[in-house]
Amino acid sequence: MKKFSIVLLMFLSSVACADELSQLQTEIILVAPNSQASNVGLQVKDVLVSYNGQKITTLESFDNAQSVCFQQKNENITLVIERQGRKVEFVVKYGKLGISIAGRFPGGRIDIVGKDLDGETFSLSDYRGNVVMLVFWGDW
Amino acid sequence: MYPHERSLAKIFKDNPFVIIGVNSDSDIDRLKSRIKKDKIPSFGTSDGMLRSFWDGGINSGQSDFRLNSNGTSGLISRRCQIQAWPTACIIDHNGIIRYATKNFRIKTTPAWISLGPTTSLKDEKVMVPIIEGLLKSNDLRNSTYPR
Repeated sequence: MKKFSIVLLMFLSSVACADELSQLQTEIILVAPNSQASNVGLQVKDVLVSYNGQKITTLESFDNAQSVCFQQKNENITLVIERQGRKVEFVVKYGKLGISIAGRFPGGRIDIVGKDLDGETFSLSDYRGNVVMLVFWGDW
Repeated sequence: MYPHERSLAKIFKDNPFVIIGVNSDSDIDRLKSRIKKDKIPSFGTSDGMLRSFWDGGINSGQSDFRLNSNGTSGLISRRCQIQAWPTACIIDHNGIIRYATKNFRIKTTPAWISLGPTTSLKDEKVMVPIIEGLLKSNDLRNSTYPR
Protein backbone atom coordinates (compact mmCIF):
# COMPACT_ATOMS: atom_id res chain seq x y z
CA MET A 1 0.00 0.00 0.00
CA LYS A 2 2.80 2.34 0.95
CA LYS A 3 4.65 1.59 -2.26
CA PHE A 4 1.52 2.15 -4.27
CA SER A 5 0.83 5.53 -2.75
CA ILE A 6 4.42 6.62 -3.37
CA VAL A 7 4.06 5.67 -7.04
CA LEU A 8 0.72 7.43 -7.18
CA LEU A 9 2.26 10.53 -5.57
CA MET A 10 5.09 10.55 -8.09
CA PHE A 11 2.61 10.23 -10.90
CA LEU A 12 0.45 13.04 -9.60
CA SER A 13 3.38 15.37 -9.07
CA SER A 14 4.72 14.75 -12.57
CA VAL A 15 1.31 15.52 -14.03
CA ALA A 16 1.21 18.72 -12.01
CA CYS A 17 4.64 19.73 -13.28
CA ALA A 18 3.72 19.21 -16.92
CA ASP A 19 0.60 21.26 -16.46
CA GLU A 20 2.49 24.04 -14.70
CA LEU A 21 5.15 24.15 -17.38
CA SER A 22 2.51 24.74 -20.03
CA GLN A 23 1.58 27.97 -18.26
CA LEU A 24 4.98 29.44 -18.92
CA GLN A 25 5.04 31.98 -21.72
CA THR A 26 7.68 34.18 -23.24
CA GLU A 27 6.92 37.62 -24.58
CA ILE A 28 8.73 40.29 -26.54
CA ILE A 29 9.83 43.13 -24.28
CA LEU A 30 11.90 45.13 -26.75
CA VAL A 31 12.01 45.50 -30.54
CA ALA A 32 15.14 47.08 -31.96
CA PRO A 33 14.51 49.82 -34.52
CA ASN A 34 15.27 48.88 -38.15
CA SER A 35 15.62 45.24 -37.21
CA GLN A 36 14.08 42.25 -38.91
CA ALA A 37 11.49 42.16 -36.13
CA SER A 38 10.39 45.74 -36.60
CA ASN A 39 10.34 45.33 -40.39
CA VAL A 40 7.95 42.36 -40.30
CA GLY A 41 5.85 44.06 -37.62
CA LEU A 42 6.60 42.26 -34.40
CA GLN A 43 5.59 44.27 -31.35
CA VAL A 44 6.33 44.55 -27.69
CA LYS A 45 4.00 42.30 -25.65
CA ASP A 46 3.62 39.77 -28.47
CA VAL A 47 3.68 36.33 -26.88
CA LEU A 48 5.85 33.79 -28.69
CA VAL A 49 3.80 30.70 -29.53
CA SER A 50 6.01 28.71 -31.88
CA TYR A 51 9.13 29.04 -33.97
CA ASN A 52 9.52 26.70 -36.93
CA GLY A 53 6.69 24.60 -35.51
CA GLN A 54 8.35 24.22 -32.13
CA LYS A 55 6.39 25.35 -29.14
CA ILE A 56 7.91 28.21 -27.17
CA THR A 57 7.44 28.24 -23.42
CA THR A 58 10.68 29.52 -21.93
CA LEU A 59 13.63 31.56 -23.13
CA GLU A 60 15.58 28.37 -23.34
CA SER A 61 13.00 26.75 -25.61
CA PHE A 62 13.33 29.68 -28.01
CA ASP A 63 17.10 29.23 -28.13
CA ASN A 64 16.60 25.50 -28.70
CA ALA A 65 14.15 26.09 -31.54
CA GLN A 66 16.66 28.43 -33.18
CA SER A 67 19.50 25.97 -32.91
CA VAL A 68 17.33 23.26 -34.50
CA CYS A 69 16.85 25.60 -37.48
CA PHE A 70 20.58 26.17 -37.60
CA GLN A 71 21.21 22.43 -37.75
CA GLN A 72 18.54 21.86 -40.38
CA LYS A 73 19.77 24.90 -42.31
CA ASN A 74 16.24 26.28 -42.49
CA GLU A 75 16.15 29.72 -44.05
CA ASN A 76 12.52 30.79 -43.94
CA ILE A 77 10.89 30.24 -40.62
CA THR A 78 7.28 30.52 -39.56
CA LEU A 79 6.96 32.40 -36.32
CA VAL A 80 3.59 32.32 -34.60
CA ILE A 81 2.80 34.88 -31.96
CA GLU A 82 -0.27 35.73 -29.93
CA ARG A 83 -1.45 39.33 -29.87
CA GLN A 84 -4.53 40.35 -27.89
CA GLY A 85 -5.80 36.79 -27.88
CA ARG A 86 -5.29 36.29 -31.62
CA LYS A 87 -2.66 34.10 -33.24
CA VAL A 88 -0.64 35.85 -35.94
CA GLU A 89 1.82 34.19 -38.30
CA PHE A 90 5.04 35.75 -39.60
CA VAL A 91 7.65 34.44 -41.97
CA VAL A 92 11.10 35.45 -40.85
CA LYS A 93 14.63 34.66 -41.95
CA TYR A 94 16.73 32.50 -39.71
CA GLY A 95 19.02 34.62 -37.58
CA LYS A 96 18.83 37.64 -35.41
CA LEU A 97 15.33 39.10 -35.10
CA GLY A 98 16.32 42.10 -33.03
CA ILE A 99 14.13 41.39 -30.05
CA SER A 100 14.61 41.00 -26.37
CA ILE A 101 12.37 38.50 -24.61
CA ALA A 102 11.40 37.68 -21.06
CA GLY A 103 9.12 35.27 -19.29
CA ARG A 104 5.48 36.23 -19.07
CA PHE A 105 4.21 34.74 -15.96
CA PRO A 106 1.43 36.62 -14.19
CA GLY A 107 1.47 34.28 -11.20
CA GLY A 108 5.17 34.75 -10.69
CA ARG A 109 4.92 37.48 -8.12
CA ILE A 110 7.48 37.24 -5.39
CA ASP A 111 8.00 39.12 -2.18
CA ILE A 112 10.48 38.41 0.53
CA VAL A 113 10.70 39.90 3.98
CA GLY A 114 13.83 39.34 5.99
CA LYS A 115 16.79 40.82 7.78
CA ASP A 116 19.87 42.20 6.09
CA LEU A 117 23.41 41.43 7.20
CA ASP A 118 23.20 44.13 9.85
CA GLY A 119 19.98 42.74 11.27
CA GLU A 120 17.75 45.41 9.83
CA THR A 121 14.40 44.23 8.47
CA PHE A 122 13.55 45.03 4.86
CA SER A 123 11.49 43.55 2.06
CA LEU A 124 11.72 43.16 -1.67
CA SER A 125 8.65 45.30 -2.12
CA ASP A 126 10.62 48.26 -0.72
CA TYR A 127 12.21 48.24 -4.17
CA ARG A 128 8.98 48.09 -6.18
CA GLY A 129 9.33 50.30 -9.23
CA ASN A 130 12.85 49.05 -9.81
CA VAL A 131 14.00 46.16 -11.90
CA VAL A 132 15.55 43.86 -9.32
CA MET A 133 18.11 41.17 -9.85
CA LEU A 134 17.87 38.76 -6.95
CA VAL A 135 21.06 36.78 -6.46
CA PHE A 136 21.35 33.81 -4.14
CA TRP A 137 24.95 33.77 -3.05
CA GLY A 138 27.36 32.49 -0.47
CA ASP A 139 30.98 33.02 0.33
CA TRP A 140 32.30 29.55 1.00
CA MET B 1 29.60 41.98 -5.39
CA TYR B 2 31.45 39.67 -7.70
CA PRO B 3 32.81 40.85 -11.06
CA HIS B 4 29.82 39.89 -13.21
CA GLU B 5 27.45 41.62 -10.80
CA ARG B 6 29.67 44.64 -10.56
CA SER B 7 29.68 45.03 -14.31
CA LEU B 8 25.87 44.81 -14.49
CA ALA B 9 25.62 47.39 -11.72
CA LYS B 10 27.94 49.61 -13.72
CA ILE B 11 26.02 49.22 -16.98
CA PHE B 12 22.71 50.15 -15.35
CA LYS B 13 24.16 52.66 -12.92
CA ASP B 14 21.73 55.50 -13.63
CA ASN B 15 18.63 53.34 -13.99
CA PRO B 16 16.00 52.10 -11.55
CA PHE B 17 17.88 48.83 -11.20
CA VAL B 18 19.07 47.19 -8.01
CA ILE B 19 20.82 43.97 -7.19
CA ILE B 20 19.61 42.32 -4.02
CA GLY B 21 21.28 39.32 -2.50
CA VAL B 22 20.10 36.39 -0.47
CA ASN B 23 23.13 35.26 1.44
CA SER B 24 23.30 31.72 2.73
CA ASP B 25 26.48 31.69 4.76
CA SER B 26 25.86 29.90 8.03
CA ASP B 27 28.36 31.98 9.99
CA ILE B 28 27.49 35.63 9.63
CA ASP B 29 30.44 36.89 11.71
CA ARG B 30 32.89 35.01 9.53
CA LEU B 31 31.12 36.42 6.46
CA LYS B 32 31.34 39.96 7.75
CA SER B 33 35.04 39.67 8.49
CA ARG B 34 35.61 38.16 5.04
CA ILE B 35 33.79 41.09 3.48
CA LYS B 36 36.01 43.49 5.39
CA LYS B 37 39.24 41.61 4.78
CA ASP B 38 38.76 40.75 1.12
CA LYS B 39 37.09 44.07 0.46
CA ILE B 40 34.19 42.45 -1.38
CA PRO B 41 32.62 45.78 -2.19
CA SER B 42 29.21 46.91 -1.18
CA PHE B 43 27.67 44.03 0.65
CA GLY B 44 25.91 46.65 2.57
CA THR B 45 24.11 49.71 1.51
CA SER B 46 27.03 52.05 1.01
CA ASP B 47 26.75 52.38 -2.76
CA GLY B 48 23.16 51.22 -2.75
CA MET B 49 23.66 48.50 -5.28
CA LEU B 50 23.59 45.31 -3.30
CA ARG B 51 21.79 44.74 -0.09
CA SER B 52 21.47 41.19 1.10
CA PHE B 53 18.97 39.25 3.06
CA TRP B 54 20.79 36.98 5.45
CA ASP B 55 19.45 33.51 4.99
CA GLY B 56 22.00 31.29 6.67
CA GLY B 57 20.84 27.89 7.84
CA ILE B 58 21.99 26.77 11.25
CA ASN B 59 22.41 30.11 12.96
CA SER B 60 19.44 31.82 11.46
CA GLY B 61 17.17 30.98 14.35
CA GLN B 62 15.97 27.71 12.87
CA SER B 63 15.71 25.37 15.79
CA ASP B 64 15.29 22.26 13.68
CA PHE B 65 18.78 21.86 12.26
CA ARG B 66 17.83 18.61 10.55
CA LEU B 67 16.09 20.70 7.96
CA ASN B 68 19.25 22.63 7.16
CA SER B 69 22.10 20.50 8.32
CA ASN B 70 24.48 21.94 5.75
CA GLY B 71 23.81 25.42 7.00
CA THR B 72 22.96 26.84 3.62
CA SER B 73 19.22 26.57 3.42
CA GLY B 74 17.46 29.30 5.29
CA LEU B 75 13.77 30.00 4.96
CA ILE B 76 14.06 32.01 1.76
CA SER B 77 16.19 29.63 -0.21
CA ARG B 78 14.08 26.74 0.97
CA ARG B 79 10.97 28.49 -0.22
CA CYS B 80 12.53 29.07 -3.63
CA GLN B 81 13.94 25.54 -3.56
CA ILE B 82 17.45 26.67 -4.33
CA GLN B 83 19.72 23.73 -4.89
CA ALA B 84 22.78 25.38 -6.34
CA TRP B 85 24.58 28.63 -5.71
CA PRO B 86 24.75 31.12 -7.30
CA THR B 87 21.24 31.28 -8.70
CA ALA B 88 19.52 34.46 -9.82
CA CYS B 89 16.25 35.81 -11.06
CA ILE B 90 15.15 39.10 -12.55
CA ILE B 91 12.03 40.74 -11.16
CA ASP B 92 10.20 43.51 -12.98
CA HIS B 93 8.94 46.79 -11.53
CA ASN B 94 5.69 45.13 -10.47
CA GLY B 95 7.43 42.41 -8.48
CA ILE B 96 6.88 39.68 -11.06
CA ILE B 97 9.65 37.26 -11.94
CA ARG B 98 10.56 37.61 -15.60
CA TYR B 99 13.65 35.52 -15.82
CA ALA B 100 15.39 32.92 -13.72
CA THR B 101 18.49 30.85 -14.12
CA LYS B 102 18.07 27.12 -13.93
CA ASN B 103 17.52 25.61 -10.48
CA PHE B 104 15.28 28.42 -9.41
CA ARG B 105 11.91 27.13 -8.45
CA ILE B 106 9.24 28.89 -6.56
CA LYS B 107 6.07 27.27 -5.46
CA THR B 108 4.17 30.18 -4.06
CA THR B 109 2.20 29.99 -7.30
CA PRO B 110 0.83 27.10 -9.32
CA ALA B 111 3.76 27.10 -11.68
CA TRP B 112 7.42 26.41 -11.29
CA ILE B 113 9.95 28.60 -12.96
CA SER B 114 13.13 27.47 -14.57
CA LEU B 115 13.75 29.53 -17.60
CA GLY B 116 17.34 29.70 -18.64
CA PRO B 117 20.75 28.13 -18.34
CA THR B 118 22.53 28.19 -14.99
CA THR B 119 25.51 29.94 -16.53
CA SER B 120 23.47 32.90 -17.74
CA LEU B 121 24.04 34.77 -14.47
CA LYS B 122 27.60 35.35 -15.58
CA ASP B 123 26.68 35.98 -19.20
CA GLU B 124 26.08 39.61 -20.02
CA LYS B 125 24.70 38.68 -23.42
CA VAL B 126 21.79 36.99 -21.67
CA MET B 127 21.21 39.28 -18.71
CA VAL B 128 21.70 42.73 -20.23
CA PRO B 129 18.95 42.57 -22.91
CA ILE B 130 16.39 41.35 -20.39
CA ILE B 131 17.17 44.06 -17.86
CA GLU B 132 17.34 46.67 -20.59
CA GLY B 133 14.03 45.56 -22.07
CA LEU B 134 12.25 45.61 -18.73
CA LEU B 135 13.65 49.05 -17.93
CA LYS B 136 12.50 50.42 -21.27
CA SER B 137 9.02 48.92 -21.13
CA ASN B 138 8.68 50.42 -17.67
CA ASP B 139 9.67 53.82 -19.05
CA LEU B 140 7.01 53.64 -21.74
CA ARG B 141 4.32 52.78 -19.24
CA ASN B 142 5.32 55.57 -16.89
CA SER B 143 5.75 58.30 -19.44
CA THR B 144 3.02 60.88 -19.80
CA TYR B 145 3.09 60.68 -23.59
CA PRO B 146 3.38 57.00 -24.35
CA ARG B 147 3.08 57.49 -28.11
